[in-house]
Amino acid sequence: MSQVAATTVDTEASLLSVAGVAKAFGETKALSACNLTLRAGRVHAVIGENGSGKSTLVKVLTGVVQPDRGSIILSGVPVRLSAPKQARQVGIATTFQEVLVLEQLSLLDNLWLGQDGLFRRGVDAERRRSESAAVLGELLGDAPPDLSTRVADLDLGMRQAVVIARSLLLKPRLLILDEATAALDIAVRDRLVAALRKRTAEGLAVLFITHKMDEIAALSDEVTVLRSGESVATLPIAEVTPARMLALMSGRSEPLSLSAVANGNGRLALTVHDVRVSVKGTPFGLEIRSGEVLGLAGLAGHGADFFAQILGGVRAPLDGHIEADGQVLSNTGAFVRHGIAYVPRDRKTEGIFAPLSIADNFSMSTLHRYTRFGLLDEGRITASRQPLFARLGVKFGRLGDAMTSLSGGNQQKVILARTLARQPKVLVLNDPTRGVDLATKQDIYSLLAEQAQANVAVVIHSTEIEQLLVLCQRVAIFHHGTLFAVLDRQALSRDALIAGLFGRAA
Amino acid sequence: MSTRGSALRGLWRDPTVFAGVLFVALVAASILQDASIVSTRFLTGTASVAVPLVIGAMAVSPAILSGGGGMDLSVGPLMGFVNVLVVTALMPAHLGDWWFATPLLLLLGLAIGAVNGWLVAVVRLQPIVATLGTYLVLSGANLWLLPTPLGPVPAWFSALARPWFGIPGPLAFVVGPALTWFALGRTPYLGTLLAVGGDDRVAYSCGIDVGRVRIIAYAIGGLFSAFAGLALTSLIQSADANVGPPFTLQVITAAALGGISLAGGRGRMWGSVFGALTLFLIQNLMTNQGVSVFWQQVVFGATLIAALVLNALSGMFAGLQRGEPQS
Repeated sequence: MSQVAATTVDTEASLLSVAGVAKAFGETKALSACNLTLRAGRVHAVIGENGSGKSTLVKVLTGVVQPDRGSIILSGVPVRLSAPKQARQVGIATTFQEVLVLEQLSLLDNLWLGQDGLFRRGVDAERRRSESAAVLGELLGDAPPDLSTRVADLDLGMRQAVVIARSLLLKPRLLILDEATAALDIAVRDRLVAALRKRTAEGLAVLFITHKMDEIAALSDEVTVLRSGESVATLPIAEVTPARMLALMSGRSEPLSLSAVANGNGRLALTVHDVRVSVKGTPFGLEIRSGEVLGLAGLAGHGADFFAQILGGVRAPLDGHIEADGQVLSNTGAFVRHGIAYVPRDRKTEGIFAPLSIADNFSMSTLHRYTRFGLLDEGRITASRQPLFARLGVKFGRLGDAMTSLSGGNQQKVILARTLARQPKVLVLNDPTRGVDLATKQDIYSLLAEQAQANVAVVIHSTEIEQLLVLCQRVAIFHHGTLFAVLDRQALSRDALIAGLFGRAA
Repeated sequence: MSTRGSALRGLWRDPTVFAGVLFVALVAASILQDASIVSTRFLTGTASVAVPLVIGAMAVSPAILSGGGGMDLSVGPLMGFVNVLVVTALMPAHLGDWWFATPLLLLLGLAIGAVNGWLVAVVRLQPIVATLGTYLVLSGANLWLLPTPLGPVPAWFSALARPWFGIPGPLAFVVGPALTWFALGRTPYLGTLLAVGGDDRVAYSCGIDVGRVRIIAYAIGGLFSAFAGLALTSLIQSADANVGPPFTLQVITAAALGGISLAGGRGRMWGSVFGALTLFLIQNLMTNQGVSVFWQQVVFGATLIAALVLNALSGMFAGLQRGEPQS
């Protein structure tokens, strides 16, 4: 599959061109005019807001969807990619945003998935082991896990390394990384950059899709910006600045700004009594007041995520309880009755009703409000939905379209609209901007600030330090399953937060 | 934790082992009840009755393993169809010789299985509905071809119901499916089938031809059903349109009891075999004890539910050991 032979790589010749590609899903135009040229030996980054067509571009290049118009030209020859199998055969390997592993299979089997024929083995066992060990060593350093480990026993970061290694083992001509580095730890990310540098020197072309400016700076040679399904500009890396990218992506030019967060009426909204979030942790208490934005921070697995779920009423604490309006909240129903709304972390499995329409996804949790004499009144649903969708700027084709026809960011907006339609007194958000672009983030920030001004208590668990600094009046930091510190506005700084995450006093 | 401890826990977590242990316990109970059953003659009779169920359980397994709600309800009627065709089509045309009838009926089973697979993978019908369709078509065809039971069948069927050199003859029918599955295990197909059953999106994105893998799985199921139909013919020594269909629910029970996950992607053929043998032994023990057929059904159902609950509990236990919180 690999066509690496020449010692010098001709970086001017186009390896793959995307010319005028368009694709619509129902009424939603995912791609309208996408042009892109990838060259051997170059790393080409693509950025764009949610819904700008990045994922669709990847699906077109991988053969998962076929374009309505336009062509894909590989080494001067138009190709039709009707399935991922064809894409692999012409030397395109893709690592998707979603970590696509088979948990019950071994690490080795996951690495070589799809490389065999149905009845004939592709590569013999000996070479499989040695090549796997080499690639894993390259990405993970000296101590890669045993090849017979079941993937179910690996953590998310390790699994992401596995799916990237799977693509590298194909020895592709073009490697597509679709936001495939989010869960990697920093050391692995550095080693990946080195591994890609080595391969591009040998002629590999990389298409790199990301939200992170620092990754673009570290890795890419050129950047293409997508906006509303169109490729609006391609720039060499030397001309790229964050402000310019943001302007091109959104058509707006103002950078992220601190929203003016008002102090609300300060009435007690939730009281946390002697709650424990891990077996070894110590119980703690906390008061959450109307009109404040409280941040929850912690490294993965240190308890912040779990505490957000407890406050949202979807998990029970190991010990202790949560109180609202002087009553102990003993089950999810009680949380709902006391006006506590929860926005889950994993959209796909916890947030949306995938088979249902956009309209149904919006109205599902508030159906009882829209009835007249026990029957549903469409007029009331519309009256509730329209201002919220307009406020959030939800981009969709038709209301009857499947929820899954929307981009991730727009799905998140529908989930937020659904949550706000309940007019909650307490809004608990678990990492609400994960995989969301800067402009949508800005929308969500100002929305949350607005909610706080309207005396909603906002609790946000976030993995982004920037977000906590911009939004929160107080941040509760979790370390080793215990509430380590609560920083108020005066004490809140980047250094103090980072110190707290690692269990040190600032 | 010690390696030995984790190996033991691995056994406890593996539902196939549960089926095996239950089987051994039931064999012990059967022998304790009546030691004279360990004789070639008795074992041959036992094997005649058990083999159609065992092969039937093997037949339903590939479809379930292929995931996506995979299921093959047509196993029972297809067994019956093979049985009915021997008497209604092959014998009148003097084509009942084993060297002709066997390959023809096996190919027919393979083809009908492939049709099931095509309906599921290409037409994209829900497997349970698609194979309910073939279930009804075949059940109807059986009754239309043979409204009342009829015999006899070609002599070679009765020959296979006897012991051969001390080995129960009916075991001959198991050789084909067992070798087929063993051979498939030497190719990448089996691993690919489990990958497709585990998560078809992952398999598809890795360039696996998910549709073809599923069609082949259902075709293998059809092939094994035909083997089971031949074994059934050897057992009843006649043709009867009503004897096949009830097997469907029994073989699904056997597969589930043997640890084949109904969600797909998990389980082993050994499990289905032990599951079928376990069902058979429970039935046998209770019949010997004079328990009524109705109560036997109750015990089947309870055994199945108990097995599934135990599996779920062991999964939860393993999760707790890894420190995952339980909701």
